[in-house]
Amino acid sequence: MLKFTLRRIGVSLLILLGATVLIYGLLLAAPGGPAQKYSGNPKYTPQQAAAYTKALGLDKPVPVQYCRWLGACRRDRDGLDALLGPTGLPSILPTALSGVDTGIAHGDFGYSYENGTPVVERLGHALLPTFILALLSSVIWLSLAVVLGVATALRNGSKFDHSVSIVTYVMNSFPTFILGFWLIWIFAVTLHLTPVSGMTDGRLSPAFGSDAYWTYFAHSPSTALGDLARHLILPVTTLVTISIAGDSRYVRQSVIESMGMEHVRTARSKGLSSLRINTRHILRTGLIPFATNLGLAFPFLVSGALVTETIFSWPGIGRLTVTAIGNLDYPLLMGILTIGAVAVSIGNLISDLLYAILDPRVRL
Amino acid sequence: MSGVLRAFLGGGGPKRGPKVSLDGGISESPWGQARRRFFAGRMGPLGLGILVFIFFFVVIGSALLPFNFYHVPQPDQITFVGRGPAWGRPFGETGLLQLDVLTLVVNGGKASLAIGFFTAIGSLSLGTLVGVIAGSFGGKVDSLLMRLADIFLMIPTLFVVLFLARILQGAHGGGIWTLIFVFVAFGWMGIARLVRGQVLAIREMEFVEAARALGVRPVRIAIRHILPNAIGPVVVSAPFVVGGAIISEAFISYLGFGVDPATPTWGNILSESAKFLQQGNWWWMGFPGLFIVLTSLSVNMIGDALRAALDPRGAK
Repeated sequence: MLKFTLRRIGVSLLILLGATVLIYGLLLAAPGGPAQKYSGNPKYTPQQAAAYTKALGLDKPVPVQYCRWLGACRRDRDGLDALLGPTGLPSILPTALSGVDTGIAHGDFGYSYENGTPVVERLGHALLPTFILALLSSVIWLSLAVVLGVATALRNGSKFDHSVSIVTYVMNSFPTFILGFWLIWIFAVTLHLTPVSGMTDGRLSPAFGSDAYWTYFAHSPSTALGDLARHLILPVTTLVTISIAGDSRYVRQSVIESMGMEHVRTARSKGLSSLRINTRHILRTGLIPFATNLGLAFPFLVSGALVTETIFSWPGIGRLTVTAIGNLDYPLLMGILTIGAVAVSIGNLISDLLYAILDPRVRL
Repeated sequence: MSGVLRAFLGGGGPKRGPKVSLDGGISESPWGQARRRFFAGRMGPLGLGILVFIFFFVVIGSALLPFNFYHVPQPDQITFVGRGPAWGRPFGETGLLQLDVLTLVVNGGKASLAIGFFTAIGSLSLGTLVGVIAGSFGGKVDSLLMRLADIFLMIPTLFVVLFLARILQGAHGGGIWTLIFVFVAFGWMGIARLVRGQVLAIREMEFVEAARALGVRPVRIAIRHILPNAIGPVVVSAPFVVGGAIISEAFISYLGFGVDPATPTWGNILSESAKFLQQGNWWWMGFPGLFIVLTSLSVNMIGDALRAALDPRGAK
């Protein structure tokens, strides 16, 4: 098990390294980089251009630039010396060991073009709203999917099963942004039940995440939470509706499969009560594939629901991405893509390990 | 009601047996069988019917109601939010420029359907090619191509597609071909994995071994013996790729990074509509949205029916 885990982590790190090359390559090929920033300015002398290029390290070959961006090379050394930090250990290791604090491996993503704030700060501000929205929706949709999937599987072929299948099937075909807008139209514009968009009511509270907001939150927590809850209703409904269909069908399928297994027949012939068979024999085997899928929900908690956040003006990572793309804010984009790739690889890792733990047939 | 339920979920329908030749043997090709099963269910024909209806609606409609980007109708009354559905304008008018929503829908449909179908053709061909190469060559080529697919799958697709669309076309969008290129470039990985798995399984089968023993060249084995048997899952995924591309395009163009407004699509005709939704203009968002939903629903139905028809084991 330990050997498998270590090997699996090694493979993830290699793929992650490949992903950083891809991210770097994409952004290198993109127009409007730092070298062009002042190129249209008539007072910009060639000397200034050279100094600027040198200051940013753009005079170095591309592999060196990539190495520095990654944090595997020190910025104050050239050649092979750069690979080792001040402490004599490889630069890629954490700051405490290597003494190097530049590059994404050490959490240094540079500064946003848009307003000059550190990328890490902007990501940090956007992470909490994304986490609130994604965690709440995934808890609701995963538990609903299990309940619906199991209920339809146990009543396989009944009218209830068919109606749920049809509704989830149609829901599954809805594009997220169309559903979001129709929900806004019905519940916010026509019925005035919920706010249209945003995370807080601008007339009542400061912007979410600012210092003023936390003061306000500490002063009147119930009002703040109520306001937050009202703003959560529509985005959460959208995410749950969109995502539940696929998962409940998946649960239904695997529960039906486990209902036909030999050990279930044995349990029935022993005369066990059907409640006991359902809970102890069918569900325990039937929910394994679903449990392993939980790891795949992890990237969603970090990278956010891009479409939903955009429609509902939710100040999370998803909307930050759209803003960053609109402004061609490369450092910010590279930061977002990198944490997205890290989240995907951690999710895959969790999912593989869960599978190995839960399914005793997987021998490592 | 249960008739409707069954009609929707497929199954039922007249059960025609396979053609039986004079000597009593069954003489029907696997594809013939699949076609018969597809049309015997109800979900497949229904989905196909909806899609064909949308297709003709869009083709005939765009011929009757051509769209001219440079012609802006003169408003005959001050209605900034646009006027609702009525005789002569069954889908109502947009806010702002007061364009006819029906005209936008039929012309936008042409571009959206084209994006869906060409993306499917492109990414399925590329994916199949990569999968067949990886599966039949094996070894280093295989692991190189599959690691490449892993790396491409690592980055959330919508992020990259949005970003590429933005940098390739500038701030105001571009033509449909750039977008199709981006979709294909980031849409081949799943298909390639699928095909590779199939090829690896089929490669070990006896008829392939027989062909190898007869001295058939590897390229010919790959094309004539392995590919036709590995293509089933590709056919099944085709409708889902069409639907996915249409939806992605709609969202990207809605944000303004996709196709520019001179070529209407189901996405870019919605780009200002959210602001007017709050002022009561539901038809601008509603009708194009309805067409996107119907298209997505119909391709999903076709895809599921194809899956059931091509793999009868999974149907029950």
